[in-house]
Amino acid sequence: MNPLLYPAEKVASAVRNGELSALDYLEAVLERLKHVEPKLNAFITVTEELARRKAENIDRRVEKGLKVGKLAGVVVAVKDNICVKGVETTCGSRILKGYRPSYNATVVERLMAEDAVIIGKTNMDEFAMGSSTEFSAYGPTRNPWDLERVPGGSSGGSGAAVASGEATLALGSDTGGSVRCPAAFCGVVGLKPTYGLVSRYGLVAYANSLEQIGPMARNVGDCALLLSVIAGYDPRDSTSLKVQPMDYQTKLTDPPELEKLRIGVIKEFMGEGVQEGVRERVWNAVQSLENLGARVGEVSLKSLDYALAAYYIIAMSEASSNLARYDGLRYGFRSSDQGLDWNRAYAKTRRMGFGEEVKRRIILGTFALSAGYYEAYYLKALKVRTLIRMEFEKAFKKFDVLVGPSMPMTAFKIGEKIEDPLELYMCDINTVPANLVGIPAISVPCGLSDGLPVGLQVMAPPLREDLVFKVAYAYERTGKWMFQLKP
Amino acid sequence: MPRKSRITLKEIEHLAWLARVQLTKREKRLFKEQLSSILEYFDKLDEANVEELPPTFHVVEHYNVFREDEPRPFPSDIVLKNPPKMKGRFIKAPRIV
Repeated sequence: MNPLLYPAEKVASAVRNGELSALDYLEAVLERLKHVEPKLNAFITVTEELARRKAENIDRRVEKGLKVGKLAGVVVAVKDNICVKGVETTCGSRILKGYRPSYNATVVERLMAEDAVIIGKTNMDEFAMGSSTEFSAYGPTRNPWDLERVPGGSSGGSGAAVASGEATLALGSDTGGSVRCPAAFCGVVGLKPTYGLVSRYGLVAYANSLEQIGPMARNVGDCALLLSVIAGYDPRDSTSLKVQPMDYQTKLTDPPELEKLRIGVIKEFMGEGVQEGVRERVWNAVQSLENLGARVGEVSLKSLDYALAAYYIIAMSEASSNLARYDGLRYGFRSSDQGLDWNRAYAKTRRMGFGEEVKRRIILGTFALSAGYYEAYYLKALKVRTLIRMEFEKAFKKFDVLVGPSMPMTAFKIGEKIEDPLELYMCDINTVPANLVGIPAISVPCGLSDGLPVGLQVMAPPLREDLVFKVAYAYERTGKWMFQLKP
Repeated sequence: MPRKSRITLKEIEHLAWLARVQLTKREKRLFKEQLSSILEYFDKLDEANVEELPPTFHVVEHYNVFREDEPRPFPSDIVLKNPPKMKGRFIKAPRIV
């Protein structure tokens, strides 16, 4: 087997046993990266030298018989809104061009402590606002399955990097589907964890109450391994949950069958507006789970009709407040401000530093929070959020997990939706509910439609990542989908 | 409750000023159309009967979280490389008045 196709666990054990040199493995990944990156543009920064130094350090310790971590030699790509000390972190924006954080995000500290090799920072929609990675100031990323199509977003660089073998694993962030969308479009596995399970310390904020950092991988086992490394309480994130760390990998087959597991198919996810081929693939996957002993039923969540509007109002409102910090003074881009007073200098830097979608969201968020409209928009959206939460809680009394398509369509063409922001927002219709409610949701590949990957989404109650992994793993083991390296 | 489904150029200019983000002429014209259709879509929430429900600001119960008020080391070599305009060890800001 080509070491490039090794699962992360196999890379780490081979490195630990001295069968595979971390440096040799890294060089093979870098060679692959140099071959495909000109086509994909999945990275904003490649940290080749840092990666080499880390790999050499691991090899030296293995030689000396010293202990190495759970991810020894595993090559990880990190989304460019997650801070790596001393490495440029742009968030896909011109306004952060040149910014070098003085600290590591908690997830990065944890990766390093387990001897992961960080290969670079991945491309993304500016400040994670988008579903196609076309809104990056550093050019769009292309889908490894079809270079004319988008990889999904906003963690499109991470999705493309994992699908194309530019990294073994990747971190993304998911505010309204930004891990699950590129996972579905690129044919990889991606998880949005329970709100508060993974520390957000060092994640550049877009919409704090919705977002989580999430693992992306070629298979469910690797995704579970990466979550085990990054999850856990962190006093530096005040929304971090005080939960015991768990080894999610050991939970995958415990107990091994899906006997008696109750699966609810969300009706609203399977209706009109879903591509025929996507619906078929998802029904086939549900059928496979039923064949494994699961009990399948349908469930209707009427409030989902309001989820997208509520999500966008909340996300934009939080964004307009979070992005007020970019003034051009302390880091990143600053326009020339000769003769301008503070307010005008600030407004000019922001005109030149922010892209169109970011400005759209700042303006709308400012509107939704302004006097006279706060109650009609922001507060109303938060009440709808309560309604949706209540409906999910009720549904989870009847079902252990809820399923449907991650995305209502397969990857679309670059440029196809960029002129119409509302049409682009509509793509997130199946992913935003999990963020509003704060529950775990995974996207696992479940076949192709017209040659493009389709993702099955599995959601569970808060902190039941073990359940979503178990269902995803059971499906994966049927062998109906095998990871394919593209392009 | 006041609702809007059209937004005027003047309102966009005012919001842009509040948010301290200048817009180009093209953006103003474009946003007038786009934001109006997005706001029209948001009107969907009018159908939801939620007046009696409490708002969910956060899915996690929130309390004040305090830490010890102790100084922590600060890697000034990296931090001071970041500001685009410096004078000695000071950040040069635009004029206030």
